Amino acid sequence: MALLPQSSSDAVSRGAARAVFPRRSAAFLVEMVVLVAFLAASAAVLTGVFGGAAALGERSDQLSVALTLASTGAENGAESFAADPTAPSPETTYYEQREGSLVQVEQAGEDAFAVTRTVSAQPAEAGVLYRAVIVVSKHGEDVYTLETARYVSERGGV
Amino acid sequence: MSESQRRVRMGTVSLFALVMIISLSVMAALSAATAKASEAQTDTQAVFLTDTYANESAAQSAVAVIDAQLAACAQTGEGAAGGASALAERAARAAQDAGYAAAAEGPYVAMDFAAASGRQLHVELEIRADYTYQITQWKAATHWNQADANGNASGL
Repeated sequence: MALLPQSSSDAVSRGAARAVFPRRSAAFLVEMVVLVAFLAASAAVLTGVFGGAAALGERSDQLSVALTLASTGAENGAESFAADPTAPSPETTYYEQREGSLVQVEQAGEDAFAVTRTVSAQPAEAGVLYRAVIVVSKHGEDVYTLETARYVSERGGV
Repeated sequence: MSESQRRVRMGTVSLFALVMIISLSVMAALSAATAKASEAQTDTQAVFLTDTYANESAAQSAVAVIDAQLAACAQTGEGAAGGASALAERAARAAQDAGYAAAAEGPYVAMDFAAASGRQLHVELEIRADYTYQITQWKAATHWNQADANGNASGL
């Protein structure tokens, strides 16, 4: 392979570098601007998607807890009503999630679920039909409402 | 100037950012799909629970109607000659008149309650000759219809 004189080779390289460098610099800047714009747009979209998914998940969790409380979980839930609709029961109870389980608390905390049971008695011809409306709420907003009824015969029917 | 020098090539940082964005997009799609599925499952559970207790309420109201009919028969002595079966017939008819799906079979009155979600409740009362009743069955069940790929429904 024929070798060029050292001085001639350096001169060619420097000339080429001077010619290419401004174009490369501009291309780099354009690439960076496009990249930053693309990153910003992607971040905005992805934040929205992740935020929506988180909100949906939280809503599902709240509803799931409310279903448990309304049916069996709460002291004044539907099953305790079905067992004995005439038994004295607190109108409103409060529950919080602690370490994955529901714990009854005395006071309504910030993250507490409030379970309110309203019972009405409808006299029937041979007994009383008790109707209960159980409302589970959080932050003052109703999460789930359950209606049930229980008939108690005055003639001793079982 | 060579061909490789003239072409603007994607830098390492750009490539890394692109891979990162693609990965995040996949994770976001999976996260959204999971949250949506979870929401749908919880909503279905809520509908099932609501319908379970709606059937329960209807059944309790029907039992009240039957008890009222038995109390009326006890006062008038109506149906005493036919025994428990005749009382069951009268009780079932009273429940039917009140709009419930009831049928008498011997001394038993069977009632079925169904909700649109597929939740069902089957109740059976044994009517006694002394104008009282006993609940012999109180069975909740779910009738699940799922259309397959060909559109044929199958009951489970």
